[in-house]
Amino acid sequence: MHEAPSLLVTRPLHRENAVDSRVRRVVIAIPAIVIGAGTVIVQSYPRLGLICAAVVLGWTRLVGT
Amino acid sequence: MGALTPPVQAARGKRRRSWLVNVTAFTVAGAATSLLAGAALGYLGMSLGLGHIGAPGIAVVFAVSTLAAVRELGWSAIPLPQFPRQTAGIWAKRTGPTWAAILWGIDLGFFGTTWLTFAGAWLVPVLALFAGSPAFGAGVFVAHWMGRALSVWLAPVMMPAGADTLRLLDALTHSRRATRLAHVVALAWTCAVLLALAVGGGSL
Repeated sequence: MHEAPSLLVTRPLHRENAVDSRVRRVVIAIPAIVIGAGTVIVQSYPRLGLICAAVVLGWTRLVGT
Repeated sequence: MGALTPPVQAARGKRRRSWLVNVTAFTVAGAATSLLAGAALGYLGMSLGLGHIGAPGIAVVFAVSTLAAVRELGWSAIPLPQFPRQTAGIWAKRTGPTWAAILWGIDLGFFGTTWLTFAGAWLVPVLALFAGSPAFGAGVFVAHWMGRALSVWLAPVMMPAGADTLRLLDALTHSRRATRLAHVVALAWTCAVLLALAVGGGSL
């Protein structure tokens, strides 16, 4: 029989998961917004599509900085 | 990010103001050096006549983008040329937080002076060079910098009340897979834009 996990263990884990999922949501949301806007802009100004890509490439350097 | 990001949810008044000043200084300093670096590469491309080569220029950028995506998807172990260093944390102790923020911005704004994290970062200088335009080169570099600096601006949003900076950095490390996926999507998006440019008979 396994013992039920104590609150001392589950509380920090719960907090860690909350921060992780919040960060993951922001990490994905920014490229989605920028590329979404780029999809509209690129039809009139194709080169601005490349500028949008540069924004996302810069954003993804947030890991390990 | 770690050095510039106090737990600002808890901070009020003077502390929050100094965070704003430091992050603004960091962003402006990095934008200035990015602008210079991008314009210089664009000027070099213009001097070499790369802006007028049309389809071959698009093909080179497309190839770099594809190779970077292949590497990040784990389909190939292409080595990533990069400068293996980080900005000096000691600057904060030697010069104070605002000057350190400016120095970090200047350093990182030059693009290639620190770890690149993912291979697609190389697309930025290649685009600036092959577009052969100082204005477009500067635009690409500044756009890349703004994306990079945005993570510092959004750090307080990513931290729930009570979380500390180390926890945020941990969470960013845990989100590496999602970040890599976003990076690959940006590379695929670049390829789609390049194809549209090529089909339209345009150039970079």
